[in-house]
Amino acid sequence: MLSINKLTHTYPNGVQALKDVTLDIPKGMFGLLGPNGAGKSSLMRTIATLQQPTYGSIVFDDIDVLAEPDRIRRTLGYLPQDFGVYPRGSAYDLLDHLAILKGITNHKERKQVVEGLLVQTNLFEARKKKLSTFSGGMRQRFGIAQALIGGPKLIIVDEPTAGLDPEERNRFHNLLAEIGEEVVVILSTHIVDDVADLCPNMAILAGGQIIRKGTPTELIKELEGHVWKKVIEKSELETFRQSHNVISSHLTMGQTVIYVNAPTHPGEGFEPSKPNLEDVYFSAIVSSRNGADTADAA
Amino acid sequence: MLLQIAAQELRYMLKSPQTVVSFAIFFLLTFFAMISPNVTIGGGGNVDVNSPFAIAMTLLTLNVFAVFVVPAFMANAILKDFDSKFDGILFSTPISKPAYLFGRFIGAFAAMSIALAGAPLGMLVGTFWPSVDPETLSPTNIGHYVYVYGALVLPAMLIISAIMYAIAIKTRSLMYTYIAAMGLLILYIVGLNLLQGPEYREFNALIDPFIFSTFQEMTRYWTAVERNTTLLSYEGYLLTNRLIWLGITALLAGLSYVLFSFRTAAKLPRERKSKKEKAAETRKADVVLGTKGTPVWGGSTVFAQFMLRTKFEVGSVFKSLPFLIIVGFSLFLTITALINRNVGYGLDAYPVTRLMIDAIRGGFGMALVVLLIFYSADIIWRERVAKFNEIIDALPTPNWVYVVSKLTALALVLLAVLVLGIITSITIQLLSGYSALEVSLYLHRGLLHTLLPFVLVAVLSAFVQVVSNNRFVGMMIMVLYLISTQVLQALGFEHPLYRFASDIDTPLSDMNGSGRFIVGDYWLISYWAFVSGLLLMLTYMLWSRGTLQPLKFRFRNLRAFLQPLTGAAAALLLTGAIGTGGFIYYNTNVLNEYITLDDIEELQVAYEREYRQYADLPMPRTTDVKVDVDIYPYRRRIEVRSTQVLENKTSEPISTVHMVFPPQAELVDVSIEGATRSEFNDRFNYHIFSLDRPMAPGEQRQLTYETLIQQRGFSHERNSVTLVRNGTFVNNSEFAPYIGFWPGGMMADRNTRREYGLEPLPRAPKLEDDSQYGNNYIRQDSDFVTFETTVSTVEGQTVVAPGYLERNWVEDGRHYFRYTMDAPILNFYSYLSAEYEVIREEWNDLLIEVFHHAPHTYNTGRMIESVKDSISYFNTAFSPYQHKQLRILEFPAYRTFAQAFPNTVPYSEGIGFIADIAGEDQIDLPYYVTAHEVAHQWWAHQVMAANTQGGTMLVETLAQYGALLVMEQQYGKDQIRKFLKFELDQYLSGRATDPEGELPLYRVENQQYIHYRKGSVIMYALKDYLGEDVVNRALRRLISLRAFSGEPYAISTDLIGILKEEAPEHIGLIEDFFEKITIYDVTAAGSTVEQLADGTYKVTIDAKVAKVYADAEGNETAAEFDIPVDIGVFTKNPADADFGPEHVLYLDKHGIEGADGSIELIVSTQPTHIGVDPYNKLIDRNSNDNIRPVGTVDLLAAAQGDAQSR
Repeated sequence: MLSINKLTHTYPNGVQALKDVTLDIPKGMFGLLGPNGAGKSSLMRTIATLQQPTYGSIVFDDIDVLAEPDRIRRTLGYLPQDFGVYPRGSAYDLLDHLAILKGITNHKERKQVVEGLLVQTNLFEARKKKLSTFSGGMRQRFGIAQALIGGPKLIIVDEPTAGLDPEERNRFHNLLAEIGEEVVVILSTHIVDDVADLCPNMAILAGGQIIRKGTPTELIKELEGHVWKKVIEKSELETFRQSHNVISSHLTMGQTVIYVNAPTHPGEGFEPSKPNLEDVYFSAIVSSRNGADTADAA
Repeated sequence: MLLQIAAQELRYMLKSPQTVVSFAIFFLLTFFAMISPNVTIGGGGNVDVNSPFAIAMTLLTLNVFAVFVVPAFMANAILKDFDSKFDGILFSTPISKPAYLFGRFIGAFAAMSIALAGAPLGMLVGTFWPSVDPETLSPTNIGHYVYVYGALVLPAMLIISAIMYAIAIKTRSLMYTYIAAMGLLILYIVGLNLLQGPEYREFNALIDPFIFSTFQEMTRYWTAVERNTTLLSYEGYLLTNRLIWLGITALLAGLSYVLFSFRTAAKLPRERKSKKEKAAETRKADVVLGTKGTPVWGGSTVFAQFMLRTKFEVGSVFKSLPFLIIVGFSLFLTITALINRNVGYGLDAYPVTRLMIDAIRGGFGMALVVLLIFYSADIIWRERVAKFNEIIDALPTPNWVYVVSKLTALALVLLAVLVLGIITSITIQLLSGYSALEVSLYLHRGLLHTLLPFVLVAVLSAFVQVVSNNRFVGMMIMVLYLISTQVLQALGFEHPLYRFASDIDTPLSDMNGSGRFIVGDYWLISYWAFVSGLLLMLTYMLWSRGTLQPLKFRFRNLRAFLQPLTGAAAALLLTGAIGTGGFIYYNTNVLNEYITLDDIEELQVAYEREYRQYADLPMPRTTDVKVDVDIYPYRRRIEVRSTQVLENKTSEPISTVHMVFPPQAELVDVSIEGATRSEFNDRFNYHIFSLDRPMAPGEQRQLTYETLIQQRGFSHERNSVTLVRNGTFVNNSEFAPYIGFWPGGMMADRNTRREYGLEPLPRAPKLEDDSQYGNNYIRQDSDFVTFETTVSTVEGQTVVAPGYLERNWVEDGRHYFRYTMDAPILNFYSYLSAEYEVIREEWNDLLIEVFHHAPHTYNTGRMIESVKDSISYFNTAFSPYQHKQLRILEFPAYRTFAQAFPNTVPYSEGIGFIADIAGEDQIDLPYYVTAHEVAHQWWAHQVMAANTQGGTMLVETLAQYGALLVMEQQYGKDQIRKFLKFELDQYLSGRATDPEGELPLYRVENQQYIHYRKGSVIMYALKDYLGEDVVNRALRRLISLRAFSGEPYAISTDLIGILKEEAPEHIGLIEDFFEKITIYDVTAAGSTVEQLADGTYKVTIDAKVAKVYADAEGNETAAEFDIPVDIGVFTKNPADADFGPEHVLYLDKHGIEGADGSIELIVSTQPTHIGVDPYNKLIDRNSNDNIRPVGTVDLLAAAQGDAQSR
């Protein structure tokens, strides 16, 4: 459905946000995982026509996104990472306003669309309230409501669950899951669970590059038998970091547990651990970082 | 604690944009005011541009505008905690209320002081700019800036800040604080305008919170020397004023303290539901889920989106604070201009629509462009500021919808402001009982023609914002644009085709409407509209969607031009711009010569370098003038054919004749009998004729010439205001040749001459230069001439020239008039052609006529009265009137003066014709001006002055004297006192700004403040001391000595000599009045009143007197006060409106020995006021202390006297 080809972007200050990103994204939910500053938002913005890349192409169905931004905008729903609202106007007013801008000019139909979305996002009771008085969760739900206006075929949600409480986050996931069957939904996040819960397909982005892609199951399978864990003293952490390929460390009941990626048994005290998506993510990040270090050293 | 809070607030504010932006603006304003030759505040003449006076004047002027900045600091200091909802945290800390309140205030005030310090700094830096003429600079003295800023500016700002702070605390709203600031400013300016007569000056000086009036009052008559060296010190008005305001400030501080409380209930937002909304409410259960909606793409959708966005933008604008500020601000400027229609001597004009429109346009001006720049940035960046841009930008709405809707909203805002201005104007007109509303003029000139240029600037501003990608950079670029509009022309870049949104002057006149001026201006507006159309396209193509990216990324969007519709639109706009631009170029550079002011200067210099060598060649003079003139008002063309007789009045033969035609005249043909043209310079229209046979002394030759003057199309500047459809007013200096080297073609300005390395040109030849005694000061190539003329114009118009109408006839659709003069006149004649109404009155064999624009009948009666009174008085006082008729002719307000030609007085519609003299005690301006011009029939047209210093004393001063006598007869001495106070005031103010320094009256070099203003005061005092009979007898002798003669012309010492002969006992006084710059200081220092046994009152008056002589710069030397002075005792203040002769108990002159004198008088009634020179006959720098009420102490003494006498 959406194919991104050799997308590269360099900011005027020389920072390379995207390096040769190539991705094919099928219908359904697609998780884009990556640490802060990995280039997720740059990629999202570029797909959402809000940024011109230095090089590369994006094609959705038969639409060349970069050459015909207005065509893709007609089937696009975008929820930016961080957004504000006009100081005046209620949720209903603003959705109605946006619906006209999305081409729904029939008054009756628009009313149905807007009210339907308000109910769907559980904002119906609050529809007359000024948006500026909304809480973070309500505002995020308003964000998804506006992204869904007009039944878009490509939906981009950038870090939607940051700052939401668990209940709000659940509700948000359900909402996404509902719509994520027929259309392309790209969910960018740094929270592994979001992807694990929702996405049949995913990619990991770090340092502006795609370092892993596939289905979560495949990626976990690749790691099977390679993850080991050990309980250590907190003071030993640095030593292990030097000697082993430590992908993560956790505190469990006052003790430090380290996870290590190794093809064979890494040594005394280590026991095998069943890999999960988080291990996939961390080992990908760590190896990409090491790769970068090696490159630097070379 | 307090200091910590203050320091923290200061740090916070220093980082905030309002501090940086305010500093930049104030810095730039004064900086550019300093380096721009067009702007002088306080300086000028002998007063240096960085003198203490100029510094104070500049900074105190800006003080008033700083009111706009105050709320940003004061309201912010206290409101930010509430706005950011930080108040909950903050107020639960153990901060004490005084520490919080006063700490914040001190911090914010400190930050504001730093921001405003941009003004003195900008000035200071500006003085080091190379373009500033070093001759106009005093040595840099940092102390002057520090004193003015610290001691005058900041205390005033402290007061305003305290007021704003109190309001912010009370209202807890930035908007209300802004509105209050606006209100304060409106109140201030309106107050100043209502209280602008000299009688209110003292009051203003005491209560002005900005001390602007105080400064003006205390320095009003400072001479150049004082202005260059003296700082205003804390005494007198200033001290009292500051003490009053210190009290008010303390009161407000206390009030703020009491009003403020940490515990305030949080305001719950009110939810309002209209009935309509309730009716249409859907219940949740009824909501249909899952409707996706069917987006429709096409023209109708885009149109709906455009309408939606426009409505949204307009709504946001109308509800926003800046809009209210714009409206308030422009309303205040407009109202100020609307109620200030001063035409001189405290008199207002009738509120004719033309003046109202001028006021509205003036009210907009530069200030509104400033607001437009800031506000357009606000609108352009609305989505980004709200952080809503990423959502909006990912929507399938075309860029142009966003851009055009924003600009439409801006245009509608401007429209709303203009409509408000027009409604205000109409209200003022109706309230003043003026009902001849000209709605179409309002709609055209007030609305359409005013609005369009602002819309163009708004487009430019949007473009700049989008291209620069940065709000502040964009604004700064626009500020540079704004400054460029003020300085480009001064720098010699005059062409309108490269100055964005340039215009051509389109003055308004009741007689001639917008004239043809507006045509050229509309061409320019069209041209810039096409250019703006292209800019608009670029703006929406380069519009940043989403992330702000550099231009090079956005340039890809320009490929939209390749699309057929867009490309066609762009091509159309480009064609339009090239087409209109080409037509404008054709008009300004082909039909007319494109000449800049610099070019003119260079021409003048070249002319002087090439031909001044011939200035002293003997030349024949014109003795007879016969002219045929054809006026084509609709074609803006005048054709002239003339035969003049030249006579060799010198004692030697003349073999060459030089001749210069006016620069704007096109020469068709010229020839002199028995001569061939040996040299002709096209650039200067300079001709040299070699006579085949020299002209013997006394010999006459004929000069024949044909010229035409015309306005072809329009030029970029200096379009002719003499050639108009209705109200042509042209005189011979515009089409007739000057025989010999014409001195008027040289550059006169001293500073410009210095730039070109030329010696200064004397303003007039020295009084002692007897080579000029045979030349008059109007033109030196002729004396009195015989004159006849035939002139034609279009049917329906009347054309008037000096002389008597011999006959008039219509031929080939043109109306011909033949005028002949029965007596010789100066070679100075004019033609006025218009659709006139005529009021005629025959009186004692004299025909008096007023030719006027039909609706202007307000004052024509006063004018006729004045002609009668003047002629009847002058006939006996001076000599018989030389003509049998006198005509007053109205001409368009493009020029505002009246001028006396032989038996003809052209009189601008802008002065007497529309002056509102309905008020009881108003000075009758039309009556006075008419009397002055009639007096010129004697003082100019009978006795002409030689071309030396003091020439205008015999012409203008004596005309003022004549007018004063007639006015005194009609309105009494008390009106004269009022009039003379204006004259004295203008004389004393004029002294300081004279570019070359003051001269005694008898050496006046065409300095208006001397020959008119000082002349009035001197002549009235002279009449008072010598007696009217004596002065008039002297004038009659001058007439019999010099009338109608150029051999020689009169000089000022002729009159002074006669006066000394007629009044030998007053020789000292005559010398003080005419031959020296004499300044008196007379004070009524005190008085006591005592009732005597016989019921009469003994009044003792303490008089203080002093006299000084001043030099050209105002340096003074003390002298002995040696004239008697008026001592008066009154039962009413002579300054009161209804003061009359019945209130005078005693008035007579007393000699005073030494500097102090005490005079004892007995009067019959109990007095209320006493005065020393109470009618302000003497030139006195403090004319307000001449009258003194008999105070309570004195009355108590009187009562005691009363008791004792029983």
